[in-house]
Amino acid sequence: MKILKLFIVFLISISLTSCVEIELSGNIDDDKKVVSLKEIPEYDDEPYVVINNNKPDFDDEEKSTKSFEEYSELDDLGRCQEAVANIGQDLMPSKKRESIGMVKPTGWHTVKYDNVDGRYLYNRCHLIGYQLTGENANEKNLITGTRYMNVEGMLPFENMVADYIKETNHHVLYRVTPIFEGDNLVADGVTMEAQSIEDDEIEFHVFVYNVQPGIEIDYTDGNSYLKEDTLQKEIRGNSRSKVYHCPGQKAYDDMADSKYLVIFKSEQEAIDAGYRKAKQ
Amino acid sequence: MKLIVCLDDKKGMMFNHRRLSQDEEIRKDIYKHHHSLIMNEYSYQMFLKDQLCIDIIVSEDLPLESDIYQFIEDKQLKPYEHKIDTLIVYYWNRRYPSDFQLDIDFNTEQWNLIFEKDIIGKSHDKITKKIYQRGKV
Repeated sequence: MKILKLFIVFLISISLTSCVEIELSGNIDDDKKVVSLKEIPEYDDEPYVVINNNKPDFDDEEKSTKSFEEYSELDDLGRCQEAVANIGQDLMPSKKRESIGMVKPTGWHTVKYDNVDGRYLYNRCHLIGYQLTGENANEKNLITGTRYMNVEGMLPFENMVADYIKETNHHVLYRVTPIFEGDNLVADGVTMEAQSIEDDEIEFHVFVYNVQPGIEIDYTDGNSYLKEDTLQKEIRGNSRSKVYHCPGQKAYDDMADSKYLVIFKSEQEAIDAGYRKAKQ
Repeated sequence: MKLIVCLDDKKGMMFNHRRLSQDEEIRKDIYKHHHSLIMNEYSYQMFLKDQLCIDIIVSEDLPLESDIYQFIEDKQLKPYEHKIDTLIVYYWNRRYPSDFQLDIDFNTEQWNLIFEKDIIGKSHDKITKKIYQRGKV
């Protein structure tokens, strides 16, 4: 009996260890290979990184021409897990998106920064985009995601899949998995996998970073701060394009040496001078 | 050389060795204005979806020195820029992921925009067709 107890303790400790080292990614398919954050390179100014040579990790038996969508149960901390769908035109929405503001995903904060496009740092970010399966306020499909992850990272992939399905009337097997480190309430990012069924036109496997340039995020609870080097920095305008760049935006550093550089003390000063904000 | 390409908002052409998007209405527009076309096998497979009403020459070694329009999806064109007379661009007006972008900058003095028209696509709300001509600098 004592040996049996020791064996159970051993099993539990193995299980806990693997939760820390291999980040849990969902509960629909327990056999699915999970993505460890250790395999993901640090964010380096690109919203996503290709993983597994862009090969999605679907089993052959998952590939069919029958549409479906499945959203995992929230975990014990209330966090979203993987969402998977075989998307055909029959799942795509025919109406405008409804309000989703009543959903408060884990780590949610309503917070604004001047250097964020649209000012709100966080979006209620669909795992499977609305344009693909028409899910509105489904708490199993909405995570706390930065504006940057939502718009720069995930949206282009959703657009590609949505337009392909509309054009061909084919199916795309599609999975999005939020990756949380330990007990963090905000995901470090999501993996996105897709494979077209009737041909080979769509295939990708990427990790999209849940980051916002210029903003420091505490992933344990979603609190956020302006990055040290963002504070008290000038706004850089381009006198040729009449576009201004805030600290953390893509072309901000490049503008430092530009012959068209114009410096403003604030965004308002730039706007008053007839400049518009850079899109990224 | 006379070339035809399709681009997203960031001049993206391909991702993971695959085209970013396709639209039947672009091909119809091409059929309306051209009787023959040069393309590679990958592009040809897409055009085979239609009842072909134009002559298509398939070559993997693009772009060719030819007066026939060439549909290009996966070639860097900068090395051939000085030989290109006309470039027709169909803009998706969408953001897609891309790891292969057109390497020609139209915002230089040598390129002139001579035509612009919006097309309603089969799967795209608005495709913009632009024709650029290279002038002498």
